[in-house]
Amino acid sequence: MQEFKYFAPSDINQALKILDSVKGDKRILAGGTDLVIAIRERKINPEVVIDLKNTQNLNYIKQENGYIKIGSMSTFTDVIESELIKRKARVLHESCYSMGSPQIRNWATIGGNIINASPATDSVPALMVLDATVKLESVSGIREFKVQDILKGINKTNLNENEILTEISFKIPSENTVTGFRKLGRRAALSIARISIACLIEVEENTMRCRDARIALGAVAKNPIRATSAEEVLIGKDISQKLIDDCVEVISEIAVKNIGNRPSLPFKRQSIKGISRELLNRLYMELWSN
Amino acid sequence: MEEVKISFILNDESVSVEVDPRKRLLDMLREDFLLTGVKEGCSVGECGACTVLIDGRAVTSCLVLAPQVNGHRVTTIEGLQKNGELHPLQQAFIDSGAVQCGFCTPGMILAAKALLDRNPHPTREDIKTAISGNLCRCTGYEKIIKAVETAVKYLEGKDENNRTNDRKKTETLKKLTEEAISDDIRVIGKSIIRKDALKKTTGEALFAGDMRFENMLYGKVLRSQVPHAILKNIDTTDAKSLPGVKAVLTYKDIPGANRVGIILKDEPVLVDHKIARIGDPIALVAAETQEIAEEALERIKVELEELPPVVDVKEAIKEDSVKVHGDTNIIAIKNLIKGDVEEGFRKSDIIVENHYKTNFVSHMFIEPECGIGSYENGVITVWCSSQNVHFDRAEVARVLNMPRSKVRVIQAETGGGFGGKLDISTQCYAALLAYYTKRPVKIIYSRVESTMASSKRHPAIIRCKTGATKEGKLMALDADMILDTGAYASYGPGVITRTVVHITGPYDIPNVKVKGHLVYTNNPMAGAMRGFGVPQAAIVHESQMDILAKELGISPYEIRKRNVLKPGSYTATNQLLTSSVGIEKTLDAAVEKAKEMLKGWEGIL
Ligand code: FES
Ligand code: FES
Repeated sequence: MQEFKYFAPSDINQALKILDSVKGDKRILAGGTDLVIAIRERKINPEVVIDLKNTQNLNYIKQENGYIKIGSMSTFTDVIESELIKRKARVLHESCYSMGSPQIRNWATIGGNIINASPATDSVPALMVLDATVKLESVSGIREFKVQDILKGINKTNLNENEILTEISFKIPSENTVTGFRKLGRRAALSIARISIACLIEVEENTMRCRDARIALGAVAKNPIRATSAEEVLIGKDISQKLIDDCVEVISEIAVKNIGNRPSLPFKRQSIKGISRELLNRLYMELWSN
Repeated sequence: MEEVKISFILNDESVSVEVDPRKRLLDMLREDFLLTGVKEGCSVGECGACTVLIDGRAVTSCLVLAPQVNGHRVTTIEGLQKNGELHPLQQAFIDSGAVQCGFCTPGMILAAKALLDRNPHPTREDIKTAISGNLCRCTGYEKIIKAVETAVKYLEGKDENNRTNDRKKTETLKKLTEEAISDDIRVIGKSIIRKDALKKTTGEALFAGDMRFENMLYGKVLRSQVPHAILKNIDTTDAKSLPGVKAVLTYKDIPGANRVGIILKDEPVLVDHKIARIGDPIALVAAETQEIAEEALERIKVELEELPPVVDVKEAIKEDSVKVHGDTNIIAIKNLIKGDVEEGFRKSDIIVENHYKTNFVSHMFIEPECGIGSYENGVITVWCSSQNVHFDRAEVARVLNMPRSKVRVIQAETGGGFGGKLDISTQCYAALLAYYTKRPVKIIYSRVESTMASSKRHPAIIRCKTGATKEGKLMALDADMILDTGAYASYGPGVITRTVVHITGPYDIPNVKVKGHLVYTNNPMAGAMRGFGVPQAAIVHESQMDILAKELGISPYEIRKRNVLKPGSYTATNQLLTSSVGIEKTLDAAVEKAKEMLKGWEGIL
């Protein structure tokens, strides 16, 4: 294993300064549950590792002016255990709960999961339907993007060399909103998503009329995608079983188009229908009982 | 490398160390603090054997860089005993029989502790979730869940068997264990404490990877990346010149035989002519550290002439196929003939014929293979993870050309085997390197290397034709099968025999004709694995029974009931069964149980 210089900055400003000034292949170590393996297997050979595990003020989950704000170093367990998220953004709770094992959830961070830009990321589809914004900080200032806009392919992002993802935020969904996440893996625990779906449906007050719908799919393309044409099936209409069935068909078509002619296609073509139907039916029931 | 100074709390004590930041928490705990209760099973966060608690939360220490715990509180299995008393979880694991090989046990207990510390009254689901990141290959999860439930009771002070009080003390438990073992006549019918359970729950049990010797070197094996090739040349000059490298060995350095194998001696210790599979061993290195040994491997230059591989058994049995060894790929043909199948099919009202295919299955013992060799006073000693020490000794002696009396092989605690540690793994390598360096040499396989080099379950292709009368009485079975033993025979000749003789299952069939081929391919080696050829047959005979039942319009239970072997039946090999034929009782009991479980669905039985 190649030698690297290790830094453990105590606050974000120090971290940004170090990141800006050091030369060479530099990596941010968030939880490290992916990075440590990649370094050991020599898939990457960093010369500098900046460890944020003990950097202050990057681990928080709070409510502010109608927004939920999550520090990028919050672990998956932090997110799962947050009552705020459980109540207001169940989709994120569910997606984080489905990631890895308890051990990995206790150490891996949500920021790290985003920046790793895996096609099978669990958090990103959920954040996409929440229309989340990410905050990138550097010595020269702050940039903000929609989460999906920083993802540029497998393990690629548009972050500048001196930027760190510090915060994820999203507007708290209205009371007439239901959200959820489903994924299919090779085994029940600890599996990487073979295919996943996150969904948010908002209805007009006291009706079943869909005001807004957002659907995101994971593991069908290089990065998670929004299934806009499937959302359009729902928006403006009264949610019904028939509408859900139509929506599931469109979701499957989108998945098939994106997966392309890969060996996993026949499996994914069917399984995406299964998990979409399960999720949408559940949300439908929730809307009824709300 | 610039070391990083860190301070943290380890098992309730403040510690400060300077550590190479590339080290994982796992390595630091094992190497610098000698806390070898932290196990390494996979290195990628999948198995949970390396679980420790950081600030009370379970974390896999193979995914954490050592300096990340600066300022945190780390707990390992060694920190659970307090004042010579076991933690209730440790005790409950012992009392519930939740410890077998023990390799998963420390991680399991810690994952459970993280749960109970937060949630002292967990539901069964909570327990399942808490241990969902920990794999166990021996015990099965039922007893482990039971153990956690028992620990909850102990913690509540409820202890039905009143075991807590007298057993809490480690010393008492040790004594009780010893008494139980020495008193072996009286243990029959009694629930006793497993001999090695105590040290496996405290982290004291020494697996080969946990052993350290003064002056110890680390060994590594250079393995083939291609499945089939002629070895043209190996150049080790560059590797030998690397500082810290103490030996680089090739087949030329083997003093004795260069072929090992349990039934046929067909597997080279180090390839001398032909590479027959991905993972074939080409050279060995011993060096002062693992890193140096790894670097030395990269410096070995190997010249190969690649050959097209044969990976499909149907290809492999053809006359003009690529040959793995010698001039045929067929190692064994087994025939079983009883009665007259033609006649049997004539008397059948219904005949079903189907083709079946099963796959390679890996044992996935949680402890990868490990061995340490030493050479002192003319005696070679190997401590290893193994299921087969006497065989190991004989092979090491042959390879080193030493009398068996000069070779000792000692089985360390072995973290699961399931047949996969019957073949030789690290033993000859460790012995060879120790022989040449005169220093103890430890070889520990990575998970990837283990999976590459160890044997697998034989994949089988089976055609099976079964005939029955309209009353559902089996009349004839005609089958042929090909088993893929990969590059080497291993236990294949035994396995094929078992698949052949078991293809009729526990059923009475008067006319049988079976032909089995065992063939070489350039696939991974297949050998002994739980069931030893029988599961491949079971898939076939049970599927055939279900299909026949459907065709005949009778229940799956009924068709089995009408055909099971009983005292007085003859097996496919014409053995007269006189006693101990349990299948009918088992079948009836299973149906009773199923009825209970399937209330309202009995119709499907
Ligand atoms: S999870 Fe760490 S060694 Fe398997
Ligand atoms: S006892 Fe769990 S893996 Fe062996």
